[in-house]
Amino acid sequence: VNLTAHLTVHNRGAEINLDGELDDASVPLLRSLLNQACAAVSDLVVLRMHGLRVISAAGIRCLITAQQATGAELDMVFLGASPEVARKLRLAGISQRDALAS
Amino acid sequence: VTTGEGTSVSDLVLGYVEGFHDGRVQLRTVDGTPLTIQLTGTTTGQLLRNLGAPYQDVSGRLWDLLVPGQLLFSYGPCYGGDHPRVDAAQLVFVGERPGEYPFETSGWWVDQIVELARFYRRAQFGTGPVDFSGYRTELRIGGEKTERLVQETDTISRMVYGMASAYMLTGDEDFLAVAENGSAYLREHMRFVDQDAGVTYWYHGIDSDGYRERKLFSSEFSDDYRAIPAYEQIYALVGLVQTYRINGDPALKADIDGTVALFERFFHDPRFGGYFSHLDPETLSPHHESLGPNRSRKNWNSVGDHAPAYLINLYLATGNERYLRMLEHTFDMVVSHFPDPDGLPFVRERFHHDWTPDTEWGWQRDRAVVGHNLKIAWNLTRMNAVLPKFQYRQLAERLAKTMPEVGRDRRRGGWYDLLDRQPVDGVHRFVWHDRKSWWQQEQAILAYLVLAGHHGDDSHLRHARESMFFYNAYFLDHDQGGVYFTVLANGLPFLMGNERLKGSHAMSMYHKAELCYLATVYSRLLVNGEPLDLWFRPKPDADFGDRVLRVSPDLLPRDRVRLDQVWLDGRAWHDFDPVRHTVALPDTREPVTVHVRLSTAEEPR
Repeated sequence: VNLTAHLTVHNRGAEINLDGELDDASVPLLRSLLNQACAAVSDLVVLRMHGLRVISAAGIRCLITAQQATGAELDMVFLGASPEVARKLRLAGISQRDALAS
Repeated sequence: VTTGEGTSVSDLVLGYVEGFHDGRVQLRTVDGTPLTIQLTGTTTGQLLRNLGAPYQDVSGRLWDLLVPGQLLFSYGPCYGGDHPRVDAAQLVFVGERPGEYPFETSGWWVDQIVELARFYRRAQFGTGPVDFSGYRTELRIGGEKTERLVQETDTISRMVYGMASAYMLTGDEDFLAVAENGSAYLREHMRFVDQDAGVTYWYHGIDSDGYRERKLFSSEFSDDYRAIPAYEQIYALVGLVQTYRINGDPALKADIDGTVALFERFFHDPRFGGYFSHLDPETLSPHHESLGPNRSRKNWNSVGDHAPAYLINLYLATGNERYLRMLEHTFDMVVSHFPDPDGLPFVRERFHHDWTPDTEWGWQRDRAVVGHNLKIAWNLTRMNAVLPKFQYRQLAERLAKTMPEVGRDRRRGGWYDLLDRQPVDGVHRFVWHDRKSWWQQEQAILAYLVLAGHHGDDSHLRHARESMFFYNAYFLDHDQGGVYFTVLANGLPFLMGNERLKGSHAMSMYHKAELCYLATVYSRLLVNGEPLDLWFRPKPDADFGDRVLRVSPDLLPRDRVRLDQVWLDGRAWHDFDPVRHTVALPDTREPVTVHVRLSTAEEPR
């Protein structure tokens, strides 16, 4: 697994820091952290992607599946995506409208 | 029909007039049963009317219309006891004279699709510009939006299909603008291009307040909850392909091919053939345990619905042999696995991966959707025209022959919904109710029209006409526009639950527009021998595989239809192939309007 991921929960919500490569092999790790984050907070989960070099389609599916499962009350924000990661997210239909923030 | 003491029943009957004396009308119902109805002092009569047409009262001259051979609906109270009698409170006549069917006149279905297109345009965008950010899947009966903010991919694509089809029949560029705008919106908001796998898939929809979107990747519909159902991906293409057929947009073509690649790479079963019904949204596996009862399953929608929803139209637009082979595979699977080996009239609809029937799934169990059987008859007939196979025609003819006995309302006309496949005491019982839904009437009409057009059988044409009469008499909402989702067996609209809506997960502008489009094609070209005008508007960079526009309106019997005339931006154009129905496109800098006229190459059957 080429992904390093950390979950932090605080009173404003949860943050997941992603570093490295979110490829198919690292999807289970991401899913586990997303499940923990969504169980711990009910309003906001921030995905910090500043250190993310690669994101696979399976990784994006994991993110959007988790986002859908949270319900409308919980916002999920993607922060700091590199141009390449943002490009992959846009190909997946994810843009600023979907809380892809720069 | 009789009444018990102290009760009353009013009912509908569809029949042909055999005689009229002393206020009594001798009818023969469509299944051949004689019946006498009694006119009263308050009996009213009207002629069948189209959407947007005024009420045509004939109450004052019923005797002129009650002549032998006239086809009519009669609705009124039925009395039992020692003096049974059926009164006619309201009569609906199909036409002024026997043998006159207004839905066979050249403008009927075109006028209807224009009314439908105006209804949905007004419902979604009011009188302002086309802006799909305000689109809503759910519409009330009058077209008003509900508080539900969801935009489902498939319902947008179905509306796009309807608008594109309205353009093809009228050349009205406002309808094409809606179709192209909606296609662009789908590409921008609902599309997932998976470069890793080289495929494209489509979100179930988005929850949008106009500023912020929340993506809904897997289905929110209860049958398919948290899965990617094949039919949603199939219907995502319905409008895109119909629009591509008109404008050849290479961007649309890329997405269409990406989605076809999704079907071939992830839904297709290379071992047993056919296409799985659902994928797990994370792994894209049809075998993932998350799918529950949808795990490793195949059904009518996932196997057969490719053809009518997009694949036939994609083949028509491109002539690409690859799509023809995919069509052949789907139809080969249908004729190989769907017919009942024990001779039951209805096909089997759900299967495990190895084609073992699945008779436990959800609401379907071992039950038959009447419309699916009719849809198979319709589409096998289309396919048989381009790739004739004995099994295709045999199953189509068998279904067409058996369905009227088991799936049609033999007294009132119209087609039922869900029936038990296994008969009890010789009867295939209703599962929930005896109501009739709009899309299943469409399947019946197109099945019998295409069979009549391709093979020329009077009984097929009679079924088509009776079905068109029922649909046009009882499904058109003359008060608020559009088409009812469901009517009771007696034709009265059923306005409860989701079935009261004009826009929902199941209804947008596909089936009713497809009916208008193909009923026009079949009636004019194959049944009545009338010319058909169609419009296209290819872009300068149109990608049809070559610089050739293919204008064949459907898979038609060989040599029955020829392309007679072509106009480019209003001027006669002579570089076309009348037999192949192709138009050589000039190099242009702007989209060009291609108006074509097709006609029958021989006497209609």
